[in-house]
Amino acid sequence: MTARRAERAYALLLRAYPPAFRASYGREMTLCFRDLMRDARRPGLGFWMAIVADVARTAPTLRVEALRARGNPNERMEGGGMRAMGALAVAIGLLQAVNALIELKGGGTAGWPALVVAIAIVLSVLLVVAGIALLADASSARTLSRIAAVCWLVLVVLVRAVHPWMSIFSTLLAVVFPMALLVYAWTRRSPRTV
Amino acid sequence: MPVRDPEAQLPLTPATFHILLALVGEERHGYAIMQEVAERTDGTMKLGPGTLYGSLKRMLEQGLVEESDERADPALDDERRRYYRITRVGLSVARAEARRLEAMVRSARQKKLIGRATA
Repeated sequence: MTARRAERAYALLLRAYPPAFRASYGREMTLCFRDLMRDARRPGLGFWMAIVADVARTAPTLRVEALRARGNPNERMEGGGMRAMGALAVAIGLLQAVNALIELKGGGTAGWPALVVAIAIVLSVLLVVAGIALLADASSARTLSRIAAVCWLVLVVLVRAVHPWMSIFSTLLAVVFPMALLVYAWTRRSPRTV
Repeated sequence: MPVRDPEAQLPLTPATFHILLALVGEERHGYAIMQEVAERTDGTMKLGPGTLYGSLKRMLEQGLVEESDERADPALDDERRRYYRITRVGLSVARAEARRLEAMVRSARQKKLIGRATA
């Protein structure tokens, strides 16, 4: 195998590592691999077995570490859409709070629906708080966003149960936004690696 | 998070301890660390790139080592390489680990598992 092909094969193996780790150390690792190839002179099966074993031994651990880092609630989020997502959360939260208050004041609710409306007000406030945290780039933004989104989805199911006539637009808005917020909270994060 | 109590970091993994030893008194880049470890252990311990950089990543996070700068190694090629050096905390942790290992070897000698070290 030529040196160039070998480096290409090693680059494929490097894909087993988490992207943040690859970004930080991929180039250095490739340089090390190149040096190892040069010193091995005729790298055979033993050489490749050692390289593959090294990747197989270390990549899963680093992947788990990266996942744990992703689950760290104090980790800050990043990404261009953070302000937009925060503004949307505040807007939808306020809209829902006003809507719930109107419904509560209108007196058209009794028993379970009244409780749902009260929960809706609390969750709206939670969504507004999460939105403000996102706008302020607070360290708790990720946790708050996840809690707000999950609670919101639970509320939608509840509302659909007692208000089956809820409009498709409202349902879509109530489901799509928290889903988007959840996905955003899971995927957008600052790399912890130095 | 940087280490406060060196003893709390023990025991170190063999890779971490060997990397710290390789960096005592000298800045080295990744491949130079690998070579130093292989030479020091008579080839019994060969660090692969994944083991080396996985360990270095954690050691950087714990403040045991730090990056110095990027420069070429004239002995190898013109590629610029990242150099690493041991920190004061790293040195304390390495010393604490060496003392721990020394105590273990002493115990093994008392049990006559190994003989006296020859000068």
